[in-house]
Amino acid sequence: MRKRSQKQFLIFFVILAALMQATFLYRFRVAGVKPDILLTIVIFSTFYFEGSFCLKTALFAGFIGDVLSGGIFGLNILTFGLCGFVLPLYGQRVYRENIPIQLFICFSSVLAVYSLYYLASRVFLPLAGFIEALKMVILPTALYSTFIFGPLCIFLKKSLGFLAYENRSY
Amino acid sequence: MIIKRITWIVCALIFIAIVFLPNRVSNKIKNVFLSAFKYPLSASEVSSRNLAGLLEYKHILQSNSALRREVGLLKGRLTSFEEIRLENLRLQKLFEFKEKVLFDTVASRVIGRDTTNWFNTIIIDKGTNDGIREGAAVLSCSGLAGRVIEADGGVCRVMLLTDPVSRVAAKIQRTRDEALLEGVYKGLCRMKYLPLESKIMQGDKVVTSANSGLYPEGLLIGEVISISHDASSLYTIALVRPEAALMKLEEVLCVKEVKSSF
Repeated sequence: MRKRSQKQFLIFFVILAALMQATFLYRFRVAGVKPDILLTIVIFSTFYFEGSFCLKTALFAGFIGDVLSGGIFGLNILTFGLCGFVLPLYGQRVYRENIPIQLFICFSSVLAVYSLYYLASRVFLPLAGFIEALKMVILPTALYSTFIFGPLCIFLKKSLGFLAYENRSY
Repeated sequence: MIIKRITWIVCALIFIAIVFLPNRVSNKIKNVFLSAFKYPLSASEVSSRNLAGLLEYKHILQSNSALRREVGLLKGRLTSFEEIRLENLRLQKLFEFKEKVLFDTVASRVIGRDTTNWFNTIIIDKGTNDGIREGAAVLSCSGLAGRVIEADGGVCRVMLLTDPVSRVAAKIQRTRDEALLEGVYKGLCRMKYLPLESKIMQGDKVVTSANSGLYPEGLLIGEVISISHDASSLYTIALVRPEAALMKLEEVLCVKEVKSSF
């Protein structure tokens, strides 16, 4: 089980990530998108924390994302929550200390979360077609977020004082 | 175990229900928490600008000297324009021209941007306490920027022109063709439903139309950068680059009310 202080630090990083995403990150846009570090922190938490904490972190991150976003209130909570619920469930079947596997999980999770968010938003809002959204937003975001996932992982592991992967309970 | 599962299922249903809340209710909930983020966002935005200033120091020096030269030129032109303005005033009184309308505005700083890549919204540090209402037009120094979609006591959320949900009734200033302007990704806008026989050209200025209802007429939106036809060849589509640097907005003007100048 992770120490309480590590969990508190992670929540602090979630708030910091939200502030950075709303203020700093637009200066680092590539192909018109910025990396979703809120979601990458949620994905990181699913590798190193137990399932119930991952879900709560995901819901909290989704809530802050919704408050600071102009989208439908509740969609980020749902999509992030789904990510925080599913990844820990199936994560036990893969060896997560392998970096390529971590990157693959990050890429596919961002892809899935963004696609779900798009499909749910489309019910309420007149967004562009799925192919255009995939080309302009979903794929670039998944690639960019995966690109920064590695350095972010190293930073968080050092900041939270992780040494090695520990067994988790759900 | 069963109670835990039921609790999680109930929580999931509550979260799904939140998505279907009416806009009024969800906006109120959002604005309560957004107000709590106002000062951390302001502090973070100031740090971000200072950091950007340090990184772009050389570029700032160069643009500073170029701007000083331009100011000198403009001062000279201003004097001659003053003469034209006075002559215009005399002519208007003489021929009883229609009144020009000016806007009462309030300046505010941008303190945050949308966290997602789906929408293009900004958060500003003024709200209903400063006379800003939902639906108010928001301008930058060079043109229309967007409109207020959520307003609380001390903060507002502004939907920019380039937001995919944004829709503005616009017209080509030169040809007077009217059409619908919508936001597209990558910081541009698209004018749809222009007539096929329209004589629109690259470089044409786009302004707000009187049919808009939300925006005062004649506000500069941007410039046409490319023209094409839709797949069915029923109308012309123009890609428009907004005049306002929407990705780099730092201060904006919110229209409080429209007033007459005479």
